[in-house]
Amino acid sequence: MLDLQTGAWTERNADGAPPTARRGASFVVLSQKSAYLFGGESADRVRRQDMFLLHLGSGSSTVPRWEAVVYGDLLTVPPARTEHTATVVPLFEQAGAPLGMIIFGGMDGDSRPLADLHEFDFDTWTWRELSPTGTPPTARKGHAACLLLNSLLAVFGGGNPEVPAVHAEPGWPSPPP
Amino acid sequence: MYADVALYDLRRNSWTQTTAVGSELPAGRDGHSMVAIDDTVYIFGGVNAKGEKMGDLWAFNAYSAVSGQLQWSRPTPMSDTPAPRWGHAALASVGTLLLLGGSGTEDDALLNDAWQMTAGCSGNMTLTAARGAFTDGAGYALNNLDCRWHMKPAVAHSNVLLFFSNLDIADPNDRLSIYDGDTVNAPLLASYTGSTIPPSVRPSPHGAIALRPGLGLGLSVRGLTPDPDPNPNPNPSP
Repeated sequence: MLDLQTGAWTERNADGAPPTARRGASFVVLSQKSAYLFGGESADRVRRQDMFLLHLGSGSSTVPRWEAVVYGDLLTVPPARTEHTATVVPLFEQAGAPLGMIIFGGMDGDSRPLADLHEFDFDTWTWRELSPTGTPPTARKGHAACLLLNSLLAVFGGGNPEVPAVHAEPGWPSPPP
Repeated sequence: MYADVALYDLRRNSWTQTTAVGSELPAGRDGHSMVAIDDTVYIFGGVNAKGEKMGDLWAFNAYSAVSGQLQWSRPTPMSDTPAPRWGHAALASVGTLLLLGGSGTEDDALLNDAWQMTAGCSGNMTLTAARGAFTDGAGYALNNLDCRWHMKPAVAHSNVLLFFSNLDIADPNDRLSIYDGDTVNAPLLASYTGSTIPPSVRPSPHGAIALRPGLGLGLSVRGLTPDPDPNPNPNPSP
């Protein structure tokens, strides 16, 4: 952990059930007390749809603790993916708009890019796939997202692993045959 | 690689695509970071379609994106900047952008450096360009902010002309002070608070000026411009 006042790093060992090693996972902090990790892929490129909660506790004396999230409803869990985005957002359809999380896009188990939106409820640990109107962005992975004006999820960039990178933008020379 | 900005409206459950206006656009990329500080969205780095790691910083205003006229800008760095990278982590914390690690240009070497970016101003900045605009940033300044701009154009024998496009200081105890010299110990030329745009300032012709906004909340100064005299004296007195 990095102390923003002093600039000093300290290595913190966490208790509990840690996630397996992975890359391309998302990790969001909720209200400075907990953090949620979702998905990603293992070293042998197996994509994940599991989720882990890191209890941060309060103060530097608390030992952080991992907890494997047991989903409320297995049928609504998003397909496994890596290089997606996860963003903490208000859930306006619920009274008082409690904080939830939205994941968008990424790359699925067959390395296909995704353009789906799923919402996670931190209270019930259930997922819900959203069916938005309008035209979604093209399927993509490796993009970035953030919450804007407390009411919008903004997505920028990303790529499509099915399109060779050198062909992705016009005006560049074709690769040698 | 994509370079578009899409917006999902959480209340209306709908997607909209934004249209970027203006000639400068960031290259398509992935593995970059995107962070919102107040109403400004920043993107940094990533890897472009040619596989090159990037270290560029871009910004757009949230309201411009919502209005459908998204205008990208490239904030001028006032310090060293992080080396090009992709796959790094970034987050916003109390008005600053924090950036950590990633994969760099040399054989994708993994990085473990941490950076902090303060939008607007922080500490001492020396401005050497012949012409430019600078600001302490939009929105509220952090508590105990003490940033100083030192104008010293690289052009020899230049004079400095400073003019203001905006001044918005909420607390009368906070002040913007302009000094006629290299340091805040130099003679005080002027000191302002409130929101009346001050007249332009032309300090004595030695090409150096120091500015210090006061401490505290609610300071916003925009568009202060060092501008060398168009007809500098070719034979300045020693």
